[in-house]
Amino acid sequence: MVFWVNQALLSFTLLIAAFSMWRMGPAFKRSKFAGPIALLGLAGLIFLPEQPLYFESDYHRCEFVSFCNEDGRESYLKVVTWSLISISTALIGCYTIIRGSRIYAERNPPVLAIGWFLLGISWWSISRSKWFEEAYTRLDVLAWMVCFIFGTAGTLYLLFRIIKFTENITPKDPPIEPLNDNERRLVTEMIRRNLGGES
Amino acid sequence: MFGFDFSIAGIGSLGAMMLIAMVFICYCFAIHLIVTWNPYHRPAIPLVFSLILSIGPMLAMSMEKDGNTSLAEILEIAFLFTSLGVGVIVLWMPIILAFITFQMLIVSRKSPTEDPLLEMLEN
Repeated sequence: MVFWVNQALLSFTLLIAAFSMWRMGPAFKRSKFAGPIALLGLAGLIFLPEQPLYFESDYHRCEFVSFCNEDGRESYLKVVTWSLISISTALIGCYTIIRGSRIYAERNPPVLAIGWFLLGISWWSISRSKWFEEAYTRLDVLAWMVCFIFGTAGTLYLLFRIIKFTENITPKDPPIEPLNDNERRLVTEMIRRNLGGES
Repeated sequence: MFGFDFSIAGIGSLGAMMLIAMVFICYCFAIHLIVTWNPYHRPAIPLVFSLILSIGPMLAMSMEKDGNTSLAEILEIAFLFTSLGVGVIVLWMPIILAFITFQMLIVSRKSPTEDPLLEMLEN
């Protein structure tokens, strides 16, 4: 049987991979595998294997992870399930609000109301969570959160410099030919259809 | 025998949180670069750097005890880093959601403006 810690890590990796694949390529040609891989990752995160029993080989595996025990598995599952439900409710709510607003079409008050209702549910679940109440009243947790942001910002800056360096050492392509009349008409039509709302 | 003393900055300390953030971001970035590999992309250097920055601390931590390591230990530590990273991001959720809710308020009240690009096309 797969150790639940390994399955959780693999499932998280699959979710990251699915998100990257989903955003890859032009908007009209996204990867077909992103959806199934995301579903596989979600299933792996939710349906974790049981904690090994004391006579099984994996029982003594938890040397570094202090919460790697039966209680830890239960807590991990609770946090994952709550986060997935709460975040997806908020995302669906936002998507519905955007669909109901006047960004893409005429304003649709019922759709807008459903979106706000879903966003409200997400806020309600946060307000009911004791996890946030405990975290936001502890100075050490707040300090960890701020340090995490500093660490993230520093890492992103480092990666940005590395990408910039890679771009600088990459040989430049020769300038491309200007668009001909046909290509210009095609691009103009694409912009007109996309921005003008024509089918 | 190689060892790395993480007790200087125990897992609860502020420096360790910055390290966790670095490992977490680099891990995600490495996965992103691997799955989006294509002929028009030159990800070799960023990928090597992100793999070093993500796997390096995991290796060091797994060797901390007795100088030896195994794949099982590295996977366990990778789980520790990623779950802590995700956990801290989830802790930021109320603040992120407050910002998003404010944006949704603006979107709900917004009317579409004429795009200057369309006018340019007409002319």
